[in-house]
Amino acid sequence: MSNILIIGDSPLAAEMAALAGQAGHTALAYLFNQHGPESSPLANIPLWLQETADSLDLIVEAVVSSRLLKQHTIQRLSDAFVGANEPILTAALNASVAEVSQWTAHPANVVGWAALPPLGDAEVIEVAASIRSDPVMVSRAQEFLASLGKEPALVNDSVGGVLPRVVANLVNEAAFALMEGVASAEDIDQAMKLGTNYPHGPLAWGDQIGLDQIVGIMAALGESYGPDRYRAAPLLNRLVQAGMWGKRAGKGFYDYPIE
Amino acid sequence: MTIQTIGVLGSGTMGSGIAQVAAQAGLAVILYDVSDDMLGKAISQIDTQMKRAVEKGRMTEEQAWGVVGRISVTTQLADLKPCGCVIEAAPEKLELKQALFQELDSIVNLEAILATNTSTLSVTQIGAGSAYPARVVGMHFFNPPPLLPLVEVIGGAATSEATIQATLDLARQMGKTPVRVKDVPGFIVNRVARPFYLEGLRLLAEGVADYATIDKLVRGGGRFKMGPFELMDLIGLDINYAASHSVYNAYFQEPRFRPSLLQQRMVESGQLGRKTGKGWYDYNA
Repeated sequence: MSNILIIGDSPLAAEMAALAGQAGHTALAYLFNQHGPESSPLANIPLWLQETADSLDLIVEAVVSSRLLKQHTIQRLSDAFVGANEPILTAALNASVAEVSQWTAHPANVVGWAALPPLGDAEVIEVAASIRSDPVMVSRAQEFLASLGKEPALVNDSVGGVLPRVVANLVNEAAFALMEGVASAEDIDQAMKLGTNYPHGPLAWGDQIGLDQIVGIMAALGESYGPDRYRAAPLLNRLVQAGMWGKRAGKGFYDYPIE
Repeated sequence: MTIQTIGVLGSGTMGSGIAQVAAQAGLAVILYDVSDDMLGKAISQIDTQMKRAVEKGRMTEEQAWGVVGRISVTTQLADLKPCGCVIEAAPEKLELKQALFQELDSIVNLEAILATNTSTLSVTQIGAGSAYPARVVGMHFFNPPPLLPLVEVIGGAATSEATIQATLDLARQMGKTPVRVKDVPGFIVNRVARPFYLEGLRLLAEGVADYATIDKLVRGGGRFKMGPFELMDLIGLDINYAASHSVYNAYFQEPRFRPSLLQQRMVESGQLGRKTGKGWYDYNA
């Protein structure tokens, strides 16, 4: 059993914290919904968090909506918490592991992970090592995911990973189709579930993942590969700008009653 | 007006599947093809399926006879006269489809709907073959039609609202779930699904992971029934490649839809998937 710090703006962070707790780890979660780097959530590290600095065994980061925010978060984490011994699992959804490793004092400790909500459904979670990752840190990352009952699958370091890259592009294409008035949101989702057996309609899934997260993934892919192919649908940008990030915000492509 | 008799043009996989669906829903079906041979094969295939359904207890013998009995076949287009709707499932050639609809104009009555099952051509363009494009509509079934519940109902630029509504009703009458779609390349499914294959292919081309790992992550990480490479093998790499190609060109070479060189090479080498015994995976082993 380990002491795990989980930090992020992604629903993945909350789901990861719940899983780690169920698996018997001591999971400390620092979750936020910040959009934009102006107000780094770690500008003032809360006291309870400061007090854990020496006892942490592993850190999981899932800041996906903004790359700058991710950088600030990783830098602050590194300054405040990371010694030579703790692996940092960074969500490779919106940056390469190599890039994130350069934001810390211990590049060899950074290992990538990638998955999508709902995390409870996932049997396999991807793990990515950068050119600089220490194999010991990679093993510890794999062991941690295995302790959650998930099979770790090793992939090469690449922005967006495998599953998030595929699904973000599906959500984006569905958003383009909706924006162009090809069909209603309900009909687009229905068509993809019935016509090609997808587990979720892409628009409803986008709401669950978080539209800010989808835009974060698309923006990072655009920066990596050029924006031609990975342009976010203007409708997606507009929804995020309007604070309609999906389920968490109560509004996205669909409306969600706030409980 | 409830439609009682429908015509189906073309007795390939899609045509015979659509005929079966309609007959199972209690409609009288006139199945047309230029080839007697093809018609014979289609009927015996439907017959086999019905017998299997009886064996498995999904249908009584009487019901099965009823389905087969409601389908008549012809090689004469003029025999489609009594049809309230004709669903065209001929090969994907624009001139052929336009010519069929032009000929049907003088055969069926003016209220009859002319539906095309095209998956890659524009419904608007096919409709231009008819003197009455307001009654031409897209009715896109998925393969195999008896199993997949979805039908995309596509209104072309000249299709009337009444035609669209009647087609949505017909699809429901046939036990299907219709969705209403505008006439854009790939409609909903073939368009929105493109990234599933194309991003999978790009990940492979970039060496992020091998095809089996990509499939495993998409299946096991995202709860898809199949990963992109397994699904390409099932669909046929040639069919899947042609679909990407057609959507790419129809959208004026939109970079999001750019086809994959890796996939092209597979098609060129005749590794088309399950149907050839080898695609991304080897099915002979």
